[in-house]
Amino acid sequence: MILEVKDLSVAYKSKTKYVDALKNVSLGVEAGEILGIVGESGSGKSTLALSILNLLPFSSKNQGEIIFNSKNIFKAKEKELEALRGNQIGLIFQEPASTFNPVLSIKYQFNEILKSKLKIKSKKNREKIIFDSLEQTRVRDPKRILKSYPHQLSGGQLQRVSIALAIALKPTVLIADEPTSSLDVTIESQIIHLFKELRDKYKLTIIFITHNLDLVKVLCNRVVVLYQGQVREMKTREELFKNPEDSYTRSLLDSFSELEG
Amino acid sequence: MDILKQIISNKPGRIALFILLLLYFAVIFAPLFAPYPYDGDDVMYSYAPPTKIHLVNFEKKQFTPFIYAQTYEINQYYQRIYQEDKTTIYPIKFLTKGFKYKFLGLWETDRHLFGVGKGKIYLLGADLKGRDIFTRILYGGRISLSIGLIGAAISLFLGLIIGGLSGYFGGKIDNLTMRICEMVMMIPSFYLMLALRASFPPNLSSTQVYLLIIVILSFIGWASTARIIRGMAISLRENEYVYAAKAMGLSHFKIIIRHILPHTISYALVAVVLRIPAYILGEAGLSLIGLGIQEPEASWGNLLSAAMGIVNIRLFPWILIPGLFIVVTVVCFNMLGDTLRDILDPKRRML
Repeated sequence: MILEVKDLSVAYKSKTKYVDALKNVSLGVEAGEILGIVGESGSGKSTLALSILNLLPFSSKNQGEIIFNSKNIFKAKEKELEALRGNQIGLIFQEPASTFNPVLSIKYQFNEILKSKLKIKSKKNREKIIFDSLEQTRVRDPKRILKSYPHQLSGGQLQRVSIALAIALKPTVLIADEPTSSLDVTIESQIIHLFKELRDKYKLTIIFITHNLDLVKVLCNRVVVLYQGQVREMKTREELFKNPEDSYTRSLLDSFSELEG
Repeated sequence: MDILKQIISNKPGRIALFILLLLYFAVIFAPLFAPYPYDGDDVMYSYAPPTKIHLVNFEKKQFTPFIYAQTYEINQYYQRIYQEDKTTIYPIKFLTKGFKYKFLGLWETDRHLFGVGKGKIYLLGADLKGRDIFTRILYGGRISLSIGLIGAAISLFLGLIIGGLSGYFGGKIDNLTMRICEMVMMIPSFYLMLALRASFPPNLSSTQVYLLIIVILSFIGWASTARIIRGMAISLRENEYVYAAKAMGLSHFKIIIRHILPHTISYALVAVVLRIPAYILGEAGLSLIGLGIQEPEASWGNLLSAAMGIVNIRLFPWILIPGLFIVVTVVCFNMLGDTLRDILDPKRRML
């Protein structure tokens, strides 16, 4: 098991009290699998993603452990965390348009990450890595894309670029937090295939967070169903779709098939 | 460059920029434009009025500008009454030789833009010791105008760093720095300035006083900048690209420098330009009451201190001219700051 979440509870501070976002969540991720995390909005999916990188806001409190490479992430020092984020665990956000700094060019942001994370001094080596990873994610016309600023690119292009940026650091685990929710369907399917390819090619472990059961069906090996901060069901994909045990899972699948007609 | 074009297309901005550039140009090349050294006194010309410049001499059919020599009589109140001595003529020569100085501090020369040879020319009159006020305004401007720029730059730097850290990290650091800010802002700035100045020995050299004034002014000025930068940093740190940078494992320092502070720069630029007058006035205030730049060094503030008595102002109104320079500079910086704000604030651009 490459990543293990043990009994994790996270609460956010509201004006007067703490509100639970995750309650006693336990799950494990095997190396090389694609784990789907499904749930409606507000079920704690994104909180889970942020806690794995120990990026929760200052105003939150948390209990439990997250073990990655036999180290508790919550107990790690700031320096260790910096080395872990990006280099070992990558994170892809939902809204590609806002994951890039609007006033810096794509190339600049790529270079900045490579310089400070991989300590690559030579410009030539950096460029090689940039073009390699852009090719991996099937970015068309990389030269033009690198020169542009985030607002000049479409959502699909930006999401490819941000995936390229994440895999350029060669992480072992990639967390994708609803990476396709803001994209149209054709781009969505291309991106999903991209994830599959990356998994096969680099033995990348992917935690795929989504509310779309369609994607889970084609992509994931195992599925975790989250509801109101709790794990309702954790099963392989086939079993989940064949015999869902939990009442919430069943209603989720029902509403899904209703739409499918 | 785009900003510069927009400033020029705006009338008040264009005028302000032009006047300021002219002033800075004049003080940078002060020894070239000044006919005399800043401490060149001459008791024969105590409180001499501005010299009249004559363009044409019909008697001698001379068509180049010239001045007459000045003599004085002492009236019944023991005051000097200056008169033109029409028998002695000093033509105004351009690019003439005068006292020696180092041009831009690099190479020695003795060329000056204008001079009258053996005579004395006082464009804006003379002070008690017969020093040329025009010369002293140019030299004084070097101090007054540079204190504004340097002081504002230092307090902007402090404000960016402190405000950025405070807003980005929040929590205890934020609480502490903001309370310190409030303490600095709570005390009326002129009293704080006096108190700070009083805590240093009075007999410092001019360079020391110059540096001290900069330190004092930036100590007072950083707080308000820091508070506003902090507010901006708090809203900027919630941006998704900041989270993305954190998720990529970029260090806090890099995130603040790259992803937080650059977004505050347009505000900071306006704030700096609008704050420069406060520094110029602060220096003038300190020097006016004798705690700033000391004689014989000139600054616009200590030039004005000669005009503290009503009698002096009535008899020798030209000693108020340094005040005019302060007013013009302050107004120009304010106009430029307002123009910049209008340009950089996209919400106002529509209006």
